Amino acid sequence: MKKKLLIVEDEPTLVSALVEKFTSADFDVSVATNGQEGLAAALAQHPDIILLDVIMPVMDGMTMLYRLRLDPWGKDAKVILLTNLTDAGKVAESLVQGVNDYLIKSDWKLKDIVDKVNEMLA
Amino acid sequence: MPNHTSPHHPLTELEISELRYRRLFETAQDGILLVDFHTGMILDVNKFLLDMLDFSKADFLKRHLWEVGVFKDIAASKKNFRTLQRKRYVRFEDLPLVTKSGKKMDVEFVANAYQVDGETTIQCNIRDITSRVQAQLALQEAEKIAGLGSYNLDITTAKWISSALLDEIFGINEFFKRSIAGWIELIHPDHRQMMSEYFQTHVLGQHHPFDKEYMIIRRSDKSTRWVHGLGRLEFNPQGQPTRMIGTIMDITERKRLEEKILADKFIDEAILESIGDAVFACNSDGHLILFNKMAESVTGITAKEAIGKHYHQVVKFIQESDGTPSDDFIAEAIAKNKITRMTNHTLLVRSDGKKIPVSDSASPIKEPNGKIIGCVCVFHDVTKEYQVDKAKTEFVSLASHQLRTPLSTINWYSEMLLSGDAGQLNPKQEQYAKETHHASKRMCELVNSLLNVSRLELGTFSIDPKQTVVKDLIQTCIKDFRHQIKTKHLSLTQKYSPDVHSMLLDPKLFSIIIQNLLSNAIKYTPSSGKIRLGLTKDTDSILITVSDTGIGIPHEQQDKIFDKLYRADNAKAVDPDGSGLGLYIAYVIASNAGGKIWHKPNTTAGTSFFVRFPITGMKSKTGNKQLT
Repeated sequence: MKKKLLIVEDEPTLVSALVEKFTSADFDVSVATNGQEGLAAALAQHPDIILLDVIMPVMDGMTMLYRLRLDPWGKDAKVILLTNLTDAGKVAESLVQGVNDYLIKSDWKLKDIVDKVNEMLA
Repeated sequence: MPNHTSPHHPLTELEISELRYRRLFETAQDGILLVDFHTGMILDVNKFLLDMLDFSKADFLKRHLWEVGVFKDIAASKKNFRTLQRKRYVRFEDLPLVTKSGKKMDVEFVANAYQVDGETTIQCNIRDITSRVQAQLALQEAEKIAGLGSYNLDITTAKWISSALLDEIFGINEFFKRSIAGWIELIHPDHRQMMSEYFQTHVLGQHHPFDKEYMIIRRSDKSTRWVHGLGRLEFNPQGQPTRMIGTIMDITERKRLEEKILADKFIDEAILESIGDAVFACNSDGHLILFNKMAESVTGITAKEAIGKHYHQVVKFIQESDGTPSDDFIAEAIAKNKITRMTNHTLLVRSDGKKIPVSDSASPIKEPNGKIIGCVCVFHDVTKEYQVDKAKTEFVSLASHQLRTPLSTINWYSEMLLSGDAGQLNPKQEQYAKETHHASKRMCELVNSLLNVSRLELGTFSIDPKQTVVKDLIQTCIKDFRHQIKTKHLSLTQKYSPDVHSMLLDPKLFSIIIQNLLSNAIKYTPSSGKIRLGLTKDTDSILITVSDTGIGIPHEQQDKIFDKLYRADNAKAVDPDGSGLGLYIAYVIASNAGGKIWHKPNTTAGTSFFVRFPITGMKSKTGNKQLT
């Protein structure tokens, strides 16, 4: 059975690249373009893992993460923050919220992100 | 009972007079000598004088006045006798005599010549004034010790007499005209008018005691002196002042000191009041003794309300994070006798309840003997700095985010092209995609380096040491370079001393240092070269060595290698795109974390870089940003 991946990201070009790479890596990929949509999708679909951007319109990634953690299913959901924010405060905040990993987009190759996700789901 | 005035034995007037004189002569409390006017032969001497001088009557009688041995200077005595014969009167206020037993004494000597029955006789009255002279000397000594000169002003004649010390204070000699006008002349021109009026109106007119501090121009050396004059009036039965007796004290030194203290106080107060920082001081019990204007403005509490109260009750410092009190630094400054600073993110609760960010330090106040008597606390409102800092942080954060997003796009799409996701590329397409990917990666590294430099220079980066297994961390760093090492056919040897295990390191910062050194070693070592990496320990530190057989650093450029943006000429030739930031970043991190970084050329080829950290680990540093 395919693993379900939810990508919450507002930048369309990045979404396209991620979708293409994960689809070809045999993931069942769904996309939300802000935190609000992302939260709804996560709670409806219960994905195996969520790739979550931080800075997004409507609702940012940290707020979505906070709300997700209040949900009985969401509190243990696997979440990787995939962002270009390197601010220590955000890193610390995300760790408090129980994020599973924190990846800086520009430092990571797509292939390595796929490997990381696979590793986390193994 | 016999009665000398009985008519049976009538006494002549002369006899009565003689008797009266004899009684007076014998019972007088002065020494009396009767001397022959012409010869100076002593005719009679009374008992009082004999007792005073320890002589017998026989010692005196039938001898010349200057022969009895009481006068020290016989020649002067003879001369004085001749003066007495001529003037028929002499008076010596202070004549030294010697008693038979050798005791020296001072006497007042008055001699008069008078005629009885045609015979001229001299009567000398001698009064012991030794104790008076001693008392005067003691008084003079006391005046000297007290710095008090004394005067005696006869108001009716407007003349005064003065003690030696007063003369010394005023710088006057015996020729000075001791009158009221003379005194006025001595007064400093600035005070002359005021003192003249004071004396005339307040003292003489209203009969108040004289009590005034004023300036004089000392007559002898023209120096300006401050004196304190005191005086008490004496009055005649009609209530008119006749005399004023008083003292003059030289208070110049005191005045100068007072002026200096006053000037210092003015300066201190002016500084304290005009200083842009809030300042308060408390005694060792913590009670406020000073509260400047800025402290009033920042806290919203007036100095009047604050002074005397414990600082706990007045200045409320709290932690931004949890609102708990944060004024331990004041108690610590007093207890530990050192300058302390408040922790970052301290808020001050104003009297209106508003909380404002403040920055602060406390310093103990010490007496010259080192005893701590209180504490000075200086703080200022950092709302603006706080806002600017926040804006900077947000800008850097946003800029980094904004710059990285398009770079991520280029990275990922060029990666997809290269991995054939869009179909097989022909060699030219592949080359172009590779160039694009490579440039984008370099851009990412540059953005990271620039952001790091900005954080290093703002001092806002944090050092957060954690127990870290040093060997594991170094090997993780090496992992990132495995591919490049392999491509360039470099040999990497690693040597880890077994006694270095885990220590307090900030993994991120330590990695940045190692990565920079390794990256350089790889970049500047030609193919098939050697890189050696070592980790050793001595008594109090660990030492990491990264040594290569690379191009080395030109001798004349070796001292600039850690400068920001500096690149050695040969390095530029090998890699024209380097940023010149890597070693600078490594250097700033090592220095800030209590470590040291340096390099040394190898004897054969290449360079060795060394990094040393104390065995106690990296120094922790609070900051709000991490390096990437």
